[in-house]
Amino acid sequence: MRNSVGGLREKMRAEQSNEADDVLVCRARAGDQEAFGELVRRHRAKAYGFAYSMSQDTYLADDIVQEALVGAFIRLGSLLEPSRFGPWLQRIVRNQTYMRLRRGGPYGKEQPLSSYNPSSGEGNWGDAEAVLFHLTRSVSVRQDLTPEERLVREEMLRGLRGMLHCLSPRERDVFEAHFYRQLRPKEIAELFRMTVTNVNNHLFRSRIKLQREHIRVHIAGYVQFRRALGKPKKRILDEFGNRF
Amino acid sequence: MANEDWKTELRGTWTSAGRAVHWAIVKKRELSLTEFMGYSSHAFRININGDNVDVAGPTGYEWEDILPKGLLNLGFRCKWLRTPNFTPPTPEMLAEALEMIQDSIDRGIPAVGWDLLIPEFGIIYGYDDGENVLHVKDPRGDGKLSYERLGRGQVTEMFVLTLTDSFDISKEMMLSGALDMIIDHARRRQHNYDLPKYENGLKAYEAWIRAFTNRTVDAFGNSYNTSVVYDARKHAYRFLRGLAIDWNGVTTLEQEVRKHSECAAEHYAVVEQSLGVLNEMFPFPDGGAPNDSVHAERAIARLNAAKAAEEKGLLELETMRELLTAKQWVNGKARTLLS
Repeated sequence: MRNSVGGLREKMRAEQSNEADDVLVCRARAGDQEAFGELVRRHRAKAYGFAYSMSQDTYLADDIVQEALVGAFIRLGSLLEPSRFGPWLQRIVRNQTYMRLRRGGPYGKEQPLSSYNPSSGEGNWGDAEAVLFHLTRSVSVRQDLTPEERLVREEMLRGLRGMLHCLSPRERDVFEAHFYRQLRPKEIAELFRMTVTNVNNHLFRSRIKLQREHIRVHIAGYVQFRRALGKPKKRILDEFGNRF
Repeated sequence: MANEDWKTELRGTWTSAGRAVHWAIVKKRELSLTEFMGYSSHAFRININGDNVDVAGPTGYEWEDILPKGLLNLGFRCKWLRTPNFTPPTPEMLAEALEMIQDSIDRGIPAVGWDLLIPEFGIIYGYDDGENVLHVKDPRGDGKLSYERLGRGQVTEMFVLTLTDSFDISKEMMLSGALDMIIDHARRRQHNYDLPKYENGLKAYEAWIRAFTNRTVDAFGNSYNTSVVYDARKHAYRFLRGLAIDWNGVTTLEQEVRKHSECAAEHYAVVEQSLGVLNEMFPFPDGGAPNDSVHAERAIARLNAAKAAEEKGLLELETMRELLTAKQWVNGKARTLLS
């Protein structure tokens, strides 16, 4: 009997559905698209239920879950306990929901994940930067966004990619080894022929730099968001500067 | 009496939370700083660590509980954002805080913030998205704070409070709300945890005395606590005298409030004078020699006097609250009967 590609995929999917979350997370981290797809299938309904109960809006709930899944995928490497994927995703969905309900605004109609087609073969699921690059590109051709919204979105994504670039090549190697492959400092030291102290220093510096960069990028995005909403750029209540 | 100048409004206060929140409401409500200090209960606060009288006492309490309650007494609702356990804000929380601040400033009202230039309360009265800076003012003075530094100051903790709306409130409600807060603070430990070992209200005087008795007083912390509590009671005394003037009607309730606030004021004058002696002995920031035996014993005597007077003043305030509660009860009853 000849095994078609589709048949193989079915078989693999059936096997996956029996695997524990932590196994799937580890495989997704290693670049296995099917594993991430299975995680999504498993947890999507519950995540959607939560988002819907909060937002009372099918369209918005859908959107929130999509965004949360992109977030989950990008940050998969930072999940310390792979078996806790479900609760972790739930938390991302909750944060996403709060943020969206509070804001509304220009991101209301976006569905970033739907524009990202993993079968196109361009994306490497293990590489956050590739996803970000893809999202940046897809935004530029999206027709449902106004030029202003598109600009805001593009700049934000560029900023996120820039975050990784603020590290020196060495720091970046060490950082990625630690966060994406979850190696211990000792293993990294062996890999790069460095001392453990050196690795720890690199990790510490990288974390501080990334944290600072993360804040800078996020605030820049927030300021652009304000501008897109047509809010004032500057306001000073002079009477408080002088009178008291 | 040393307080003949009680009609003169005190223009400042060592309680930065009081100073900052008063700034935030000043355009909305005509209210002197002293009145604000009284109705929001800041004038009656004291919070002491009995081990060493540490410097964090005056700001070591649940801001998110006390500040909104004080504002409610004056007819204001607010919202606040605070990072947990002395952590700096996440980027998301920082953006949320900026949104609150900017919305408030766009409405013409400054926001209240913590640790803007130094670890005290201050106001944020301007922003500039071009420079990414906030215009702030706290006990250190005027200054600019970059967006990214909010909540990453000297103590890496973020707290922001903004007014949302206001409502009409009667003077009876204002006073009974204030008395509830003042009495609760004086009689009940308001801390959720055993550590740090803060005591508030009357017990705080005992804790303070214990530190002097054990000669374990931190000179700097003690001088700061002394300045803050002494200044607060100056406002307390003037606030009570002001009540006696404001409640000038002929009804029994008006007469009673007048009588009891005058009596309470006399006791709080004694508290003020006793703390005034400490304030001279332990000037901020050097703080003198609090663990020197002569100084310590003298301080203990003054603190005992202050505590005894505050206890008597408190009894007057409790009587006043009973009268106000009775009136509210009668009013409620009357409404029930009429409906």
